[in-house]
Amino acid sequence: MLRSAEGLCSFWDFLNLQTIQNGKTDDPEEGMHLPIAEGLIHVWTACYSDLEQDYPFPSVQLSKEELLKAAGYKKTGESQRYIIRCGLVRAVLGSYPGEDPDKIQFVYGLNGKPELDPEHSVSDTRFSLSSTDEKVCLGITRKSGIGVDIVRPQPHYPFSAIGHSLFTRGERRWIAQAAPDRRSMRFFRVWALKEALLKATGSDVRIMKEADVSPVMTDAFLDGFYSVNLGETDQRCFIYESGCGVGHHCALATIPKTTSEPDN
Amino acid sequence: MEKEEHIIARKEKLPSPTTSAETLRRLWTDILDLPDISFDDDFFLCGGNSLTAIELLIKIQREYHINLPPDSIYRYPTIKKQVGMLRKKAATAREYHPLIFPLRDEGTLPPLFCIHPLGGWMDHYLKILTAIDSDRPVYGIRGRGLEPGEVLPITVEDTAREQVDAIRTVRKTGPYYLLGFSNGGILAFELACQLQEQGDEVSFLGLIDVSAPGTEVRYFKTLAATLFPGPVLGKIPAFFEAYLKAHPDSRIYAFILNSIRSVFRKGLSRKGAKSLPESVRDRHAAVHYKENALAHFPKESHANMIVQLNASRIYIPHTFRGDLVLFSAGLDHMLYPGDVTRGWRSLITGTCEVIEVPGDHTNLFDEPHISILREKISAKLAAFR
Repeated sequence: MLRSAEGLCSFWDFLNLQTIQNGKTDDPEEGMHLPIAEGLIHVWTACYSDLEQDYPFPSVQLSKEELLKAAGYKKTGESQRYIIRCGLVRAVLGSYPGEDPDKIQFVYGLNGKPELDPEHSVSDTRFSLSSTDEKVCLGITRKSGIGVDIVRPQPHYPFSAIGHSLFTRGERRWIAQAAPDRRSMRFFRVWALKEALLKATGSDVRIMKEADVSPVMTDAFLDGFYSVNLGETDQRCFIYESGCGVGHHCALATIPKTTSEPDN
Repeated sequence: MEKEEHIIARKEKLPSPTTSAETLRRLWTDILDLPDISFDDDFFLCGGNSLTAIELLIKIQREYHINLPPDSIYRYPTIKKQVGMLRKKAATAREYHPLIFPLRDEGTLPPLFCIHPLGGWMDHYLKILTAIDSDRPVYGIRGRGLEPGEVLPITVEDTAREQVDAIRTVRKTGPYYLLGFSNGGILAFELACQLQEQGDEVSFLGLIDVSAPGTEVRYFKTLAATLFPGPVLGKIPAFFEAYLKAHPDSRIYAFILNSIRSVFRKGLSRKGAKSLPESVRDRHAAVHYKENALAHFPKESHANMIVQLNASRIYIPHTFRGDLVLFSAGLDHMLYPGDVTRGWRSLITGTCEVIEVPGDHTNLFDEPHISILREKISAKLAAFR
């Protein structure tokens, strides 16, 4: 069990949940987040520092593959953070109807993005996970493709080469239009959104080069449905950006399931 | 859309596997700040993420001057696998003429050939590569003299002749797309003329911040000073010259230029280009150039640059039958005052489109000007899809 100022508590006490629907964000009422209704998005966030006390998910077993991968991390703390991420995903997903935390099996898509293995899952839950070395963020919805990306913008990050390699001319122009001290933040906003879109589509990293988010970017954080060019066609996406705590920025994108895709 | 047809001449050079592994380890260490990296370590288990994966990809591309797909680090996450990727790239790489340097050798559009500026290398074009449609292959044409024992042609015509041969090893027939910065613009112009003379189409001739060779103007000044000596008579050619430069479209100007060209071309052919008088080679100007402009370049490249510079100074341009695009960072007040086309309009039969770009000749390829240059080149070439 974890220990807070008030005494022993569950890891749930350290998770922050936002429920998002059609661009409106609400604090969920107690017990309202389970089960998740279609069209809702749950965004769970947590700080590693709150969870890094032994293993905070005593009721959740990791798979052999996850433990093996955890042992392979080379940097101090990376292994522990990976274990926490895996435990968190299993614990949270397991709290949704139709999923047993210990029996959840994942398949890994392009770029290693994990998804619930449809052969071992009866639900139509979709999730996306992202983390920095401080925070972890888990987005959950039903049916729609979902992508989450959390970044920690660095004020003087030398983004020029990456921008020219993966950003469109419109995106570079939008970044360049900002005052010099604001350009880095704009770069990270574009980067996070493109990453979220990439994850939501399940495509490989080439979509980073093809997707053009510049027409929808504004100074205000995005929150709603937008038409985004994802290479060959425009795609209607739900996009939500937030500060996600001090020094962080989070982008979330969902792409509604088309009617041609079969239900699970 | 026209499919590209390639002819192969020589192996692309990539370092040995051992060198690659050590180089890659250095690049990994720079990015991950991790001292103890083995060749079997997974990039993402070493703390890499999507952002640093792209950083690594860009570093590898710059190190080996190659173009890799954006998902390369995901597909080849260990140093050992990345060495394999580089070896595979080398094994499948086309073989090229010694003067051809592939900046991007994939794509189905007709390739763009970028001609080297003074010095012979193509660093400038690497900076604008991203502005060019990813479906268009891009090849640099390097200068002679970079490899030990190479001899530089001493005329623009001879240089271009060899470059035509090189280009034809990549693309046998036109249409051709040519781009040249600075002195490379003069070479691109002569290259275009020679390709046309051989019956090929040149669809795009783009020059970046270069004036038409001022040979005629200098000869005109010499001639005028000879015909009109003294303080009073000496003002006549200056007046006449100012008038002509202000009216580059005038028939009188074209007649005089063509006459001068004709006279001097005959003179040059009689003497032979390789035995031009010292005054024409303009040693004084070359020394001046060496002391100033060349100071920014490595000393070992000065000798080559002076030969290339002299070749351009004695070059008598032909006429290009077509349009020309000039990306210009300003007027040439010395040779062509008041002429935004910087002397090119009188050397072509088509239109000379001048696209203004910010900065000057020395910082055109640096931020923030390079972004605008990229945009303008990208927009112009997009019309040639």
